[in-house]
Amino acid sequence: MKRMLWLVLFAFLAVPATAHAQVDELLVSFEGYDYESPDYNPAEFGDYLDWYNMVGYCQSGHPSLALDFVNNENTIQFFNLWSNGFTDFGTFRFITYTTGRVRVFEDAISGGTHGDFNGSAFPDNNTAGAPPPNDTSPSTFNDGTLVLGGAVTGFVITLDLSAGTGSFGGDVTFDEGTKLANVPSGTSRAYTFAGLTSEPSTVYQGYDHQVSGEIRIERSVPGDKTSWGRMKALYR
Amino acid sequence: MRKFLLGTALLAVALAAPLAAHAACVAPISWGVSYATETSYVGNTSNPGSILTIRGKIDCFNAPFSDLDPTTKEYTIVISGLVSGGTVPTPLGGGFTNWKTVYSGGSFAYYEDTTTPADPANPPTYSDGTAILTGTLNGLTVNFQTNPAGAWVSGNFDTGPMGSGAVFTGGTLFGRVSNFGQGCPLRDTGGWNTSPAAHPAGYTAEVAGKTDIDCHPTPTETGSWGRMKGTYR
Repeated sequence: MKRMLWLVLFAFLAVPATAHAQVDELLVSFEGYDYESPDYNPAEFGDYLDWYNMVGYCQSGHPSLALDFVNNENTIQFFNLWSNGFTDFGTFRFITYTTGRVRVFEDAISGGTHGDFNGSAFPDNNTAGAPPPNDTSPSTFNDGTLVLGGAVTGFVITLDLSAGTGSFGGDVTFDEGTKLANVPSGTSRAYTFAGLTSEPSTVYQGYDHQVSGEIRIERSVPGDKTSWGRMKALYR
Repeated sequence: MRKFLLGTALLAVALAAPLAAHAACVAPISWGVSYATETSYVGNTSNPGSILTIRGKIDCFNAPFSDLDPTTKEYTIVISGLVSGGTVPTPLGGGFTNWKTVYSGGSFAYYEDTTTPADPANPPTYSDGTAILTGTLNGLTVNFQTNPAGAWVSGNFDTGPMGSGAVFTGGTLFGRVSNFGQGCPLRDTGGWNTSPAAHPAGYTAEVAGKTDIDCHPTPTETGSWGRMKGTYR
């Protein structure tokens, strides 16, 4: 009887463990710069109908994507994000956007086109570049093979106007790319976030912020089916 | 003057390190998966006096560290000793809220390790190996936002503008981030993710960070002896 009670209690405790466990994992990390174009009111970042753009490099990716950083340059682009306008609360500016897109590209390092923020007349590491869009940005960040892309919804930017820093966040629904099928199974949600910095010494001319962020996935990992006998054997 | 210019030229040559075969990045040091933890943190609130520690892996280097390859050795960062001034919530309208915490003090170290993989459950694995860079911070600010349901939306952190106090002070690679023995200013910034599933138990946030460095020598100006003497008259 005592043994039966323990088994009943154990079964009760074991139920949550066999349900789906929620796991949040890095899918892609990225770094680059953002800018507004068209920018109907350059004096105000995030003004109504200003178009938010971000271009940059991917530094790491989920193993299932099998991004080859030795032979390829992986780049990222956020675009088609139109501002719904901003609201200021003290020193904070809150901007919401229409649905846009994010795309990740793969371009061979040898024979491909290096992502260049500044324009061909101003190679990288020259802060006196040509403002984007120019003859290399975004064009050298959205060439090559489109490996993964999707819709970005609920995109918001929050800026601390006194510090010149901020962040963005939004949900991502993947729907295109040669590695669309490589997004880990059980993904229930994908989202992106990034920190924004307007440090003058680190932001190329014409860009607004340096951007450092990630796309992450939440997924449910199903439990394994097993018998009571096998489970009991685990504890013997 | 000639010696100074030669020194500057040699420094520029030294900074032009060879490229390694790994991902392209923008900042000199880009962090990979990193986590923050605090000694007194409840809900979205860091209590005054709480100590913040950030532990992370480096996944990309740029000049002056382009020769370091995070795919062949493990590089980690540990930021410690940041003291919380308490979290202040600010309503942003529409049910959104900004949560801001200003921390004071702080120091940091970057490590190079070839043996023990960094494990969030085993903090000492982040601070073993060789300390390649060390330094002090002058505080750090965290802002993140929640939606009307109370869920995290986005966030960022920042150690403050270049020249506001964060500097390199030592490490085996100190020579790459100093001018004539004086440590260069730096700025750590990036995303701050407090979504509960994004970090392991015992941590309070997942961090997407980077380190920018302003190591340009002070530029020279041409002038006459007469003008220089005039400066001191």
